[in-house]
Amino acid sequence: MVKKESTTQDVKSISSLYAGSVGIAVYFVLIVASEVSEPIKKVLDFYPAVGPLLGKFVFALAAFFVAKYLFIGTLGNLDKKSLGKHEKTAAMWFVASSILIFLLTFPPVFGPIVEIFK
Amino acid sequence: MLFLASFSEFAEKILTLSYWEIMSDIHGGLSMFSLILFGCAITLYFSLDKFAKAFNWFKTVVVLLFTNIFLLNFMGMFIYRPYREKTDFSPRTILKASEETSWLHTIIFEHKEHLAFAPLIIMLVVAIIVVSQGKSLSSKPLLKRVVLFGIVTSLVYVLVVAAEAVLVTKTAPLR
Repeated sequence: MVKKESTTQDVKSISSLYAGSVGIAVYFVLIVASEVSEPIKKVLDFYPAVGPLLGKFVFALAAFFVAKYLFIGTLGNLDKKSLGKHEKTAAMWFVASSILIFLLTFPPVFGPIVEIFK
Repeated sequence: MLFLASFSEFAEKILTLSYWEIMSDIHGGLSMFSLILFGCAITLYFSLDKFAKAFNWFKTVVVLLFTNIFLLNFMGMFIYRPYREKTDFSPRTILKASEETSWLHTIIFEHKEHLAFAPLIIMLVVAIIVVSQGKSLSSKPLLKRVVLFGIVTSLVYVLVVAAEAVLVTKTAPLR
């Protein structure tokens, strides 16, 4: 019973780490997409008083929760050893995406990326 | 007597602040409050094995910190409306009107508004880990390190966002 509870706790934590990375990645994709594509910018701009920024926040958070739900379903079937491996991988992705987002939201860095897709 | 004169001047002037000035002050206040909570969270993190109630306090502070950052972002969105208003007096119009100041919007403010999302999602992950792991967090060294990384990174990002906000608002304050 204690073992099962520990596994459930780990699944929740690891899925959050993966989902956090997905949320950050989706957020960055939306930043670039809203600069590249006018139709995407319009979808994100559902509340014109605030502009597309609100759309980026809402969709990235939605991506986080969807990813978390999907990862819980996938990781829930794994054994303890596989979960241990996923813990390391998920932590690495989370740390990397958390650091990268600082640079990727800086206009001199994401500007050239936008130019590639324009 | 001097105190009364000074206090009545304060009361009189503070009541003349505009609605948006008060809202942006609340936004700044939430930002300052988050710094206190970050300090508490880091102190309690290093006290987790030191006293019995440390984890419960740490969990409460982490949840409060996430709530605070959520409210901070919500207020940020709220006061973003007058900032980007298409009038001659909105801060964005003022900044973009001059070549000298347009970089404050196109580089500094753009980075500030986008980076503000990072502490929200990082602290959401940290809060979920702390709440779901409970007291067993102490026996999970990797997750424990990720929690510290999340708190410190969020603190750094909040400080950067605040510094960028000061840089922008000292040139074009929200009124």
